[in-house]
Amino acid sequence: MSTQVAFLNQTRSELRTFAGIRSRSISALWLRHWFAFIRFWKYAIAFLFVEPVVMMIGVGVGIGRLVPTVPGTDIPYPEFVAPGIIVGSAMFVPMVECSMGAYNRMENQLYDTQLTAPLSILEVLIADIAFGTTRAFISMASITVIAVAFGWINEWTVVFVIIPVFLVSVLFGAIGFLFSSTAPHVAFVTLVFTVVGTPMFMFSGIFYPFEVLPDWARTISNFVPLAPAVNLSRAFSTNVYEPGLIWDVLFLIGMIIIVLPLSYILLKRKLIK
Amino acid sequence: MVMKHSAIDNSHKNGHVVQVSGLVKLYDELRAVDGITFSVRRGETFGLLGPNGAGKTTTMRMLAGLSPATDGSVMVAGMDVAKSGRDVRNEIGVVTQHDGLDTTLVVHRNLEMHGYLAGLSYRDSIRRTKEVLGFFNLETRANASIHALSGGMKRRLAIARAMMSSPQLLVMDEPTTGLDPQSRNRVWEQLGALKEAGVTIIMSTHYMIEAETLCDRLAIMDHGNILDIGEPDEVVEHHVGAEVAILQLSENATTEERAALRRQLDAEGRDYSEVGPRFLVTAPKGTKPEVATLTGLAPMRVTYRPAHLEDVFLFLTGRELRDE
Repeated sequence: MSTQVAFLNQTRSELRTFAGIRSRSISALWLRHWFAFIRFWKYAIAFLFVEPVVMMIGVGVGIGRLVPTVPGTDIPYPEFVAPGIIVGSAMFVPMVECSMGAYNRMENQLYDTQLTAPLSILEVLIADIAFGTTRAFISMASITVIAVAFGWINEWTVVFVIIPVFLVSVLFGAIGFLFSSTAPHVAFVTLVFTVVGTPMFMFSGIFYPFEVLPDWARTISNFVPLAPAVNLSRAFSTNVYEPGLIWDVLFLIGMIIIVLPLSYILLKRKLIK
Repeated sequence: MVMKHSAIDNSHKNGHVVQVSGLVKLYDELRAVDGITFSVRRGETFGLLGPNGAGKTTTMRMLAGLSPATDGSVMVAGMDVAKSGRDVRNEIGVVTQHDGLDTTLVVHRNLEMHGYLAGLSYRDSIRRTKEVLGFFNLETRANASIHALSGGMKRRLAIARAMMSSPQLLVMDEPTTGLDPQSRNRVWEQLGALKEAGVTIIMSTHYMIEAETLCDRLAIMDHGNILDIGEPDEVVEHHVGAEVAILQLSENATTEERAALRRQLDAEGRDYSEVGPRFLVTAPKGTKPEVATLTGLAPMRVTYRPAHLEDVFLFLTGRELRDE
């Protein structure tokens, strides 16, 4: 005579996949991240809102007083900087999520536990980058509201900044995984900020036009992956477009096509032994 | 001498939830699992015993589709784990060696999220969370932080999480390691109830009393091999007989007398082990160990006790310390 245990007599779920991807895995992991995020919302707000907003006001109002317009143009300095800070923030947020955040989940065996459910490594990668992208959108919205309120962004087309923010989030989320998947210790993971984040932030044309750089530095800047996103963000924020923007989009997509599979391979090697 | 006579379990070909055949796992040069074969019947509780590094965890990870096998096959519920790992994990619950609890979420969210991840609707996941928390006596801690739970509660929560998808097969890696006796007993009660309800359980453990209490059958592993497999009583009877003779040397016993006793045991080809001042002498196949030829070699007191699984474990795997 067997014992009755209520939760054992439930109907089982069926696995539904599309092109080998199970949407439930992605939505469930995303939801898990969301609950973790809102549980510590006070700290999350500090990271997502306060830091970039303080930086933007500091640079826009502070440096903007010293440099009223970008030299050689009549563009007010805060209007020049604001679109770049939006995508700069969009770079950092998913990069943190997929480097430090992912590393902590690896160290706490959380991925091991999650993988006991019917999900795949690819779905883990997609879900984590998707959540990083979500946080980048929140960050984008907060900075944009401030910039519009100060009159630094005046064009409705700023809503299309979501396109470079999306591309940047996916690219730098994947780059974050390159570090978390190969890190022998936590100190290694912090390199992502030192060797990727800060140089990108400083040399992608957020704070000054490339024209002020010497020729050799300008050549290097052409290959800084954040630079095309800054160009796109600035175009959508000012509603001024150049033909070269299509190459900026293609460059970002090309980088994603290269980096995303690499991050998948490294994450799989890390989690499946 | 290690016996491998029953390392291959051919007892049943049908009605098995799990069939492992010639399973091998290589990590570079290390053969972590070295061609093991066993099967587990529906409703059975099957134990994997072995010292650290024996290959238990690796075996269980391959069984759950969390680690690819180098060679051999694992069939779970008629599915090949190598080809259908996702489908297999949809059918089973897994408790990893580390709790792997989500410390950024409170207790009930840990369960809800796992249920939703496993495929339940969100509403069903919330409902089942309440049922599972009740079954594992954790309902009063539903809103607690993971850090606020005792070791026993965390372990029960880890098992509860694995039960969220109502699996008919539960795979557990050392479910009670590190728990105090009270917490261990609580886990045993709950595993016993799941077993009564028909859940098939595969578990690894270091605790012989746990294996004797819970397992219908068990396999003793070492160095990636199965050394013996069978029902606990059978295994004990086969290797160390019904009783163990304990030769307790007195404090006056000299080193030379101790060596003489050892020489005599070796000369007679006896199975024995030394534990401090005691020699434990066993006699296989149900006979009582005779010690008449030994008692004159050193001042000692002789007592007998029933043989148990730990005697077999030490007999088969030796006393050498292991590290993971």
